[in-house]
Amino acid sequence: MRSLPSQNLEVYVREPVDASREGSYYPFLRHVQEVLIHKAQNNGYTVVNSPTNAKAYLETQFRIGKQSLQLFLSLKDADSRNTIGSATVELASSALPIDWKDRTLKDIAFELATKLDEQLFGQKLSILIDEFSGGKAKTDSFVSDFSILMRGYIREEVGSLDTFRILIEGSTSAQQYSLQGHYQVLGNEVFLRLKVIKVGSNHAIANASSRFSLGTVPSGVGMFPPNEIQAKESTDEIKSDAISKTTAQTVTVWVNHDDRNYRDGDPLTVSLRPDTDLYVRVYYVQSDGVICQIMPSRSGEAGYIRKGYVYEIGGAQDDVELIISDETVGQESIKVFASRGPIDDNNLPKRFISGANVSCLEDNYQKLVETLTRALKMKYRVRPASEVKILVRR
Amino acid sequence: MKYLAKGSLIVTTMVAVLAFPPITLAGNHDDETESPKPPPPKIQTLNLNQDELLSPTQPNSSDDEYLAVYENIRSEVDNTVSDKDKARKDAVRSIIVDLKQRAFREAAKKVNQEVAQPMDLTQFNQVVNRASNNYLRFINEWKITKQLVETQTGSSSTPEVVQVSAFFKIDKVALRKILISEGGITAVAKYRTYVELFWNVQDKDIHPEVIATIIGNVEDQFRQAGYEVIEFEQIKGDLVELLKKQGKNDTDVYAKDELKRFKANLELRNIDKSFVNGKRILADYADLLIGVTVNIVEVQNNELTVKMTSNATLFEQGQWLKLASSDDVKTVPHVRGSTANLVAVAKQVTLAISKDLEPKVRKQLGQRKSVAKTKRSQERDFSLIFKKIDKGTFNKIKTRLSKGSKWQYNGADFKTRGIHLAYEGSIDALSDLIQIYLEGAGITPGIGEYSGSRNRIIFSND
Repeated sequence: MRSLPSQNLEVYVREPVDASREGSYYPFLRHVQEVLIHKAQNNGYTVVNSPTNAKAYLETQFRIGKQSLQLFLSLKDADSRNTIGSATVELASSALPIDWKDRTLKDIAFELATKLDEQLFGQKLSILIDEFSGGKAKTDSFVSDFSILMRGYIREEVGSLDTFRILIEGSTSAQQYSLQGHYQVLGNEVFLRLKVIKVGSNHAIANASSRFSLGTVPSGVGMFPPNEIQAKESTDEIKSDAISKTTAQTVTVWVNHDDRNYRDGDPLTVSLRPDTDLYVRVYYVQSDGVICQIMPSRSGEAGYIRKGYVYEIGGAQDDVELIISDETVGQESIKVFASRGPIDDNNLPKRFISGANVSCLEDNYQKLVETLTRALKMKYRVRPASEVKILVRR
Repeated sequence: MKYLAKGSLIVTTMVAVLAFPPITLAGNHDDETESPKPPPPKIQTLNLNQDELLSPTQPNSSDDEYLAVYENIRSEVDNTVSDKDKARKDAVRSIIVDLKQRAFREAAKKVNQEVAQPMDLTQFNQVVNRASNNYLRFINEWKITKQLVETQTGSSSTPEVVQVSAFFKIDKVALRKILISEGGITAVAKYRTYVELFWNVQDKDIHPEVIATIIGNVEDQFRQAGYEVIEFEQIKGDLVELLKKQGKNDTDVYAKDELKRFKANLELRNIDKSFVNGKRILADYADLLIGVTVNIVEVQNNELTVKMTSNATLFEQGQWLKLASSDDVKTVPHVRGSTANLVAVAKQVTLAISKDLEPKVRKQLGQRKSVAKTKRSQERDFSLIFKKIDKGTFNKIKTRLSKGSKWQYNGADFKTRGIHLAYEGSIDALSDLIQIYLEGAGITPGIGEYSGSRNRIIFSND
């Protein structure tokens, strides 16, 4: 700061930003900004709260080294942006608090929300926080402790920004955007990417990513569901969100827990809102691979749902009740198959489980998909239309 | 998961200047020993003529006249002139000439203030200078109320001083006419001005607070400059009706969802885009259209940039003509999540484009001679439509109205059964006036239907 000119100047002290491409956020840099404000005041500057009132800006870029923190300061004229003065400061780790490099998952969420906000700033978007999933491979889409936790943090951070208006799942208001998250565990690192997708066009209007150490994830927070193998078997091509819909067979599906997290005894309500008149089959895929049909609930019913209505399975108006039990834990999912014509599922081997009071299939998920979608004799094809994954814990 | 069967469940600021005469308060002189006692005041009863006391020393000003009063204006008498009388006369004449000019300029400024118009100072001064050469045309009355000469005793070389008090009454109506006709004042107040906003930021959705800031500030800038700004809320009801007539849905205009409602209203306010024949519909509400487009709102490299352009178009002789345009861009440091910062920048850019655009518009308007020629200072053009009236009756109406003295008849259109005229006053007054005027001639035009913000009256016997 000594090399910066000392004069009575109205200065706006900017938040320090990462000089690297990562654009990482470190909460410690907030303290650095506070110190810079004090220093600027001691230097004879008048520190203002808004850049629009400033005659000059004090900008700081930081670089995190293994053993040090480097700060590159520059004082710039507000109009011309010419540099009035500059300084470089290198602080050894030993001179800094022991936790200066620490970041929590909340800090990662803050960083990602900031990056999204920068891309979308100046707008007001009604947004649905959709599924967060991932795994080891790019194509993995597991729901885990980590994905549920991160989804919650992101929701909180994004919700605190004026750019976004978070919608409740199933909201009929002008939902136009959807936020999805995908993580990948790469050795000792986690790569988390967020996308904001425009409903209808499926076009990503913003995306942000962060790479951080696996050590940032608190112990006890699983990166994968306990039923990883079974969960993988029930993976299919359908996008598990409410907005990526296949062809004309479109149906929005959501559950009664916004965080998609269930424990033993929790009631489950599955809601469906079709964009067109459809015939549907809705299955609950347990973490052990058992698949039970939850709609239609009675044999012989067509499963016909009409555009403009919301159908609740297990809701107050329904004649069945769905209760989550911890006999199976891990990733479980609700799968919706849809067709414009009646669905012939007579070939599906089913058995009635009296204890659970439900009809379940005797085959696995891949067999179910094959049987339902292969029906060439049918005029209208049956397709996986929508899905919601939940996490059942003890 | 357990699956259980249930039972079926189904400003304007007015400044009043109060002039008090100087008041001297006699102090209580307690210490009578130090100061000599003043002589006891001589008290006598005054018996003055009340009428004389109440009658003003100079005439009052009025709506049509400007009164300039000057007291005790002094000027030295040329002591090199041997003829003292002539020298004194010259000094008084010089004061009077100056005062006449001064009165004229004050009156011109007053006229300008009264029509609430901004003035291009250079142009205004040029017109005033030209007009002041004929200032006698504008002076209705003037009078010297006092003339004194202060002479020096002895052989002092100090020159004599003449002292004059006078008043001048200037014809404001004549002055206003010449100032407007010669372009000294651009009569922008007669232009009903409407602001439209376009969000032309690719792949980006609107932010209501930013939009509201921009529209509000553009409207304020033009209102302060003397334009008659037509607010969207004034005409919203009409527009919704038009929307329905064109078979479009108005549900979103009143939607519960705030964002949805805001977007629908923003779309509706952009009349040209929202309606078939939008330009024509727009012309019913406004003469001057200020279109503001937000081109860029973005954060790059942690810098917030806002860019806007604005265009002014004038509806004249049946078409919209571009008058002027302006643009501005500003980049400031981005503050995470700060809408306040965005709004502040948007406001700065809005003010910059408005301040740049408005004088350009005014200049262009001033140069439109056809406007100056055809329109009187405060008149508005109106269209009168006579529905279900045969050609013969319409001809009678046309003949009758063309002779009216309360308005300026501008022409008729037999096909649409329309009469065009200019009138100085409100639309409801005109509607009543036309009805009474025609009924007086034995023609029953029916009751006029209109809305305050439009310039069309439809007479019908339905």
